[in-house]
Amino acid sequence: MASQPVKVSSSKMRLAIGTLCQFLSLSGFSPISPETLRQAKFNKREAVGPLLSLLAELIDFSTATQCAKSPQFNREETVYVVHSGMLSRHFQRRQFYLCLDIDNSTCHSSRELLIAIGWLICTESLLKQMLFSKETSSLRSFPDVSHKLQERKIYMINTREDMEAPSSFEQYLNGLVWNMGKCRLATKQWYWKEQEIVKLAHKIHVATQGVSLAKNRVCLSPADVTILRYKDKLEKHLHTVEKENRRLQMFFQWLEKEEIFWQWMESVIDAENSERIQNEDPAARSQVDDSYPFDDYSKTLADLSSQLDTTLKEVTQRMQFYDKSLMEKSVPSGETGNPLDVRFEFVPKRVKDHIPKSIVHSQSDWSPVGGIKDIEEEILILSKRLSSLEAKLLEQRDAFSCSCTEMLASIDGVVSIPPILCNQR
Amino acid sequence: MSVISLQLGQCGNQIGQLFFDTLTSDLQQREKEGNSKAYQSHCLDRFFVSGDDHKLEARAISVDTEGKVVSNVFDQAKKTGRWCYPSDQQLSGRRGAGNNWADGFYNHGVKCEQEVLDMVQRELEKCDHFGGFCSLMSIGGGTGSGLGTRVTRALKEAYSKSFLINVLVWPHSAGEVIVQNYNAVLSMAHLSESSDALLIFQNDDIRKIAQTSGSSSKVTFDDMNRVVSEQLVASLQPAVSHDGSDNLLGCYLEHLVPHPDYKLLTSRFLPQVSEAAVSFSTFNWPALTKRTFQMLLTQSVQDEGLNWHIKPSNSRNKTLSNLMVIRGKGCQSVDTGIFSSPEIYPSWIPRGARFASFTQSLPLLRYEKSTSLLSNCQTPIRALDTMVSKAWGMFAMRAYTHWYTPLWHARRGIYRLLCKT
Repeated sequence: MASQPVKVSSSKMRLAIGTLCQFLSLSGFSPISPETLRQAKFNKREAVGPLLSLLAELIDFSTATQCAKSPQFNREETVYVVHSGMLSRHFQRRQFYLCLDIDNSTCHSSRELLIAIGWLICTESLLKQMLFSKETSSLRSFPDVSHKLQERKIYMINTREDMEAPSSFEQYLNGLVWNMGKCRLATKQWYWKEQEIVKLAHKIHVATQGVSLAKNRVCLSPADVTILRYKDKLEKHLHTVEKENRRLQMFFQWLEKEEIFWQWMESVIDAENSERIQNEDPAARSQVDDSYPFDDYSKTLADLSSQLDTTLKEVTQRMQFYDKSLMEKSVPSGETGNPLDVRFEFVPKRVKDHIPKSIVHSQSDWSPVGGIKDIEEEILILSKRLSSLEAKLLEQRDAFSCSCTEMLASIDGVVSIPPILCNQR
Repeated sequence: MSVISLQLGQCGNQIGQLFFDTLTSDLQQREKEGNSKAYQSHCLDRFFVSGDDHKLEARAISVDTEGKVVSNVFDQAKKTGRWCYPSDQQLSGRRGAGNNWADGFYNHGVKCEQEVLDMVQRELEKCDHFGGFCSLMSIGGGTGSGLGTRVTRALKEAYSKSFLINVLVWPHSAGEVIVQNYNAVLSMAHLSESSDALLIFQNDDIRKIAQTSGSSSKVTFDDMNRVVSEQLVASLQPAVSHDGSDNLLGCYLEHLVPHPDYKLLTSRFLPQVSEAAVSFSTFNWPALTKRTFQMLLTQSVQDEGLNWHIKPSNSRNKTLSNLMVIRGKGCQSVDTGIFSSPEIYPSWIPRGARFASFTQSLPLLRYEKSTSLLSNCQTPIRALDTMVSKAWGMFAMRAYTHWYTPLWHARRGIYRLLCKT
């Protein structure tokens, strides 16, 4: 594949695709046009049929038979062969399997088929296999009996399918013996066919000693004799040779243009990606974004960081404000104030006395959390002190009212009126 | 494909001579009509080899215990001017087998076995594509049944990979030779093991056919032999299947007798009319196929007196497989669907293997249209049963066992072979 994407002209690309198509066609696969591949790039439905057949044939070729166009699959079989074939080759493209509709024996995406064909050709070096395969070569040995073997194979399969379910073991045994007998007699026929070939080849070798069309042979081959004897076969043979020659040329051309083709295949995948992105709606895209958990985490972290910054700033500002106000409201040493207003008397002293010099922070290093804590503690202490003072005041008031009552009781003609505060209590 | 014919005994030699004669006369007729080069070359390659003086030599070996018959058939072949037998491919003795199976098998058979094999080897070397052996013999007499059985066994041992079909002429149900039941049963016991297929022509049936198709009311052995030879020619002349493959002997056997326990074949041929009546008769394919099928259902090999009430559902003739060769104009369009009726086949035979047909657009002999049906069916069973029961009856009385005694431990041997059948 192309290691570096280089801009290639469309004519060169067309040539590369055409080379591949011609090579496949000359190797005996279903003919396919470059236009079909182009349509597949843009995911046109017209290209589905030919590409599906081609993919099935390629899979069949690479599986075991090594014979292009050997079986004529119907539509259902084609989809099944394609599905199972690609699955067994570990082709892991999810979209490909999603677009294969086995129930309706079709495929919804020609582009996926094209990508699968490209993948198969690339991973299994199929074109090289085709070049060296005898079955795909036009120059098969004479006489060509492969179609006979194929017919025989189909006949045997049909025979097996035709057999009715035996109703008894005896019937089953008879059926088995019958089929075994057929195999035995067919093998005999094959043996005599082989004998015939050997005899005829020997006759030809003896009769054509010293006459040769090839350098490394001293006599004519059976194929040579057939050609020389039958004029029409000579023409057919020439046509075959020309076809094989063209196939080889196509392969050489393919080797030159291969890189361009794979670049084009990359563009097919790019087209697929870009189309996917375009087709998605924003909601779906956000859903897709949400599906990436690290994005979430980073976003949350960023939010938290900014929140922390602002909080810190606010706290620092508040602390500075508190510091200033404390400094301004602090009472100078030796000055006596309201005995009840103990707060302003206590706080500066505590600050100065209780905080060791070594851990006194500068204004910038002030810990807002520590400051708040101290303030809260101070508020707590002060509120306790306040409540204790209020209790003392209440006791003194009670004591005062009792002494007043005792004093007034000793003086005649004086009525004692209790203070409002006491009543309120 | 080349078929080597072995003419064993008097009957075998006479049928063989007429068979080759019929072949060449058919070729001559086709040659006159023209446009049959491929057919001719196929036929010639199958049954003849071009001799030194470009004369057609039959791919045949003639063996008999009496020299008279062999020299007769050689002379008759020469007289035709169309073909001849190869002069070095004959073997004959001075003294016949005297209708004694044991004499043919143990005496003449042992003496000439190796010589016959040498001749077969020579003939085999002339073949490019060997198709198989076709032994022609009767099983009522001594040479055909005894020597023929011996030669068949030797062929099977020497050429185990080859195809071998025995064309057997079944003796009349009564009258010919007193020990014909023994001879036939002993032959069948051996041949059922050695041969791939046994094509049976019953003398009683052949005689009736010869009466129908002959010009005079008096039927000779020659007429009967002609009937057999025509039926053989109708089956073995070149034809092609629907997929274009030739009617090789191996193909026939593969289709008809794959089961080693069921090797008995019956031939049915239509039309069965005299030479004089042919020009006044018109045949059409539906009538021919229908009649052939009815012959199969009624276990008859004759065209006359068919019971049309018998249908596939009530037919007693179970068949394992059928093979039809259709010859004449428009043969490709013949409907042979009735031969695939499931009622006449056992269920264990695969549907596709029950019936096969080969066609040839050229006519055969004087018949514009003809059908030849080879069946692996129950038709010969009745004759075989009759023969075996008669042989058992004779054996129970120890009748004529002494004929076989000097050469063979007859009682034990006959008993053993009777048990086999």
